[in-house]
Amino acid sequence: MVSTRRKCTLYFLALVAVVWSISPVYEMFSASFMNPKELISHNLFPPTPNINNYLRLFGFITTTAGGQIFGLTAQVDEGLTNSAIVAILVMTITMAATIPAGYALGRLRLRGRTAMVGLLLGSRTLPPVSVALPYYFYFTALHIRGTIIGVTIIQMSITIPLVAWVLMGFFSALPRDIEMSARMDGCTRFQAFRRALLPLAAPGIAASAVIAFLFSWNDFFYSWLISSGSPAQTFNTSLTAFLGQASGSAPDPTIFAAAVVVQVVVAIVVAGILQKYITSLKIIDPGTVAQ
Amino acid sequence: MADTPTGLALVLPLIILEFVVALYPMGYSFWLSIHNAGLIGGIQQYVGLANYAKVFTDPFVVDATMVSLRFVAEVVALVFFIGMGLALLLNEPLPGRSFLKVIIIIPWALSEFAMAIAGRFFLDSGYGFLNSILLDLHLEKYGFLFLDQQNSVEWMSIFYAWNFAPIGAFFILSSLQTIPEDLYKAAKMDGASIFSRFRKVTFPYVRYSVLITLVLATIQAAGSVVTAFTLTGGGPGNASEPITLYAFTVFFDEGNYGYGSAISWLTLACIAVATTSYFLLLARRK
Repeated sequence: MVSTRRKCTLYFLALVAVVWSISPVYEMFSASFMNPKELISHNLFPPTPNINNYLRLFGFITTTAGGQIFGLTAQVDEGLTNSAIVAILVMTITMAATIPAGYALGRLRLRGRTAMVGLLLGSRTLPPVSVALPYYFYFTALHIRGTIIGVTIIQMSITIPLVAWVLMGFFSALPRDIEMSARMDGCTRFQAFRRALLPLAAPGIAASAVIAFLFSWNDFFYSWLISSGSPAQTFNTSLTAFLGQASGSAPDPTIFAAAVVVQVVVAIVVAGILQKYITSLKIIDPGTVAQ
Repeated sequence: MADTPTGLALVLPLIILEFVVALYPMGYSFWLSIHNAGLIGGIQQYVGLANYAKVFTDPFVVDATMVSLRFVAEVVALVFFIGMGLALLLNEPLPGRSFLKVIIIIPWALSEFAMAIAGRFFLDSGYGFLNSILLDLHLEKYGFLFLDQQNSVEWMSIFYAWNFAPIGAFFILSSLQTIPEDLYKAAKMDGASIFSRFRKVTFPYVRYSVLITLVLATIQAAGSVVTAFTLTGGGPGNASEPITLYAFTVFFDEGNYGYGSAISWLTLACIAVATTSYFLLLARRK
């Protein structure tokens, strides 16, 4: 009897955990399939589910249910393109720069290794607001504020140390003998790295690339700082157009919901790929990925 | 140390890049903080530590610091209980456990920005989910304002912890799975209660991952600006404005660059002290 009662308690707790985890997300999903009137008359399920909000978001229908909102969808579309470009640039350049560095820090016997790690990771402990203002001026002076390049560079200032750190741990955990025996067989260091080590490191490298992509896609603060109001603004930045300062004043909550759902679904799909590597990679900086 | 030259060639470019992109602007911000620099007039006059002195006499700084401390303390407490609870639940041999794992990780997949927007949709007084439920159950007649003077910081903390707890739960779970089954059996035979089993058997094994989770939660929450910016905008009034958002307002709304930099440098110093002492604690316990 005790065991049945225990089972019931566990099922109940599991149900609580599920409701806790999905109800805030569910709300946005269901709102994105309603029209504003249905949403405001407090429906919990879409009474007439339709994808008009998504069609409006991507410009297939040009008027909104609440009337015309000028330029809003165009901005969001532009943001989506910019975010895709930036995320791919950030991912590619970060990986190209951090694979050699991660290898060197994780595998080579280096003098001053601790100092190098410290210098590389030191900037990661800075709270974003402390670097915001200097970045703003610095990027203005260099004429890269409000450009795709500017957004890419500012995001890489986070992804490069983070991914270098993850790869460092990953490379140092790979078996030593393989590289050694490749060197014995007459491979140069580079050949040994490419032929013996790289295939083993492939899952870690793939997961790191996903981390870089996810950071870039999810980043709001830095890209907002650099790209707000410019033609280079990212998807997340473009969504601030929907934020009224006062509660209840979003210009069109259902399109807003649809836009956030698009943002979140991409992130969830990409994070799903990452999920099975989380514990094996020992990512000790989850917040950065979560930002 | 034969590999040093190769290693330097591979790592040094990144260090230089970090320096140019991150550390140089930091130096510039320190220079700003000891000058009277502002949007209006753009006068840049050396004022020494005057901006720092002003921080300690500004009543808004006191309010904002209290909001920050309250937010961080609540987030840490919530992350501990929720992360621990989820980890213990996932450690049970339930059918469909892998499905449960996927559901529980979902909040973590949202960015801080998306989390704050989810919070708005959940709590909105006009169309929010919570209000819809309460109205449908006839528990209230009009939409209730959840993000009010008293409670908006608590809602910020709840949503921040909602976002952060899953990764903590996964950390704790991975150390829970290293506990040998025999230890529980032995403790049960000795007649230990659930609570003392948790304290004597479970907790020593998970202590390290709990500590790491809470350290990260503290650092991240203390530096967070997006949650307040997006979920409450610091309001109503400045009831939920943490120090990070206040520094931001001083920069961009008031255009007082010198003073804003001074606030952000002091915030940085506080977070640095907290981080260092945490890591010393971690190093000693390991």
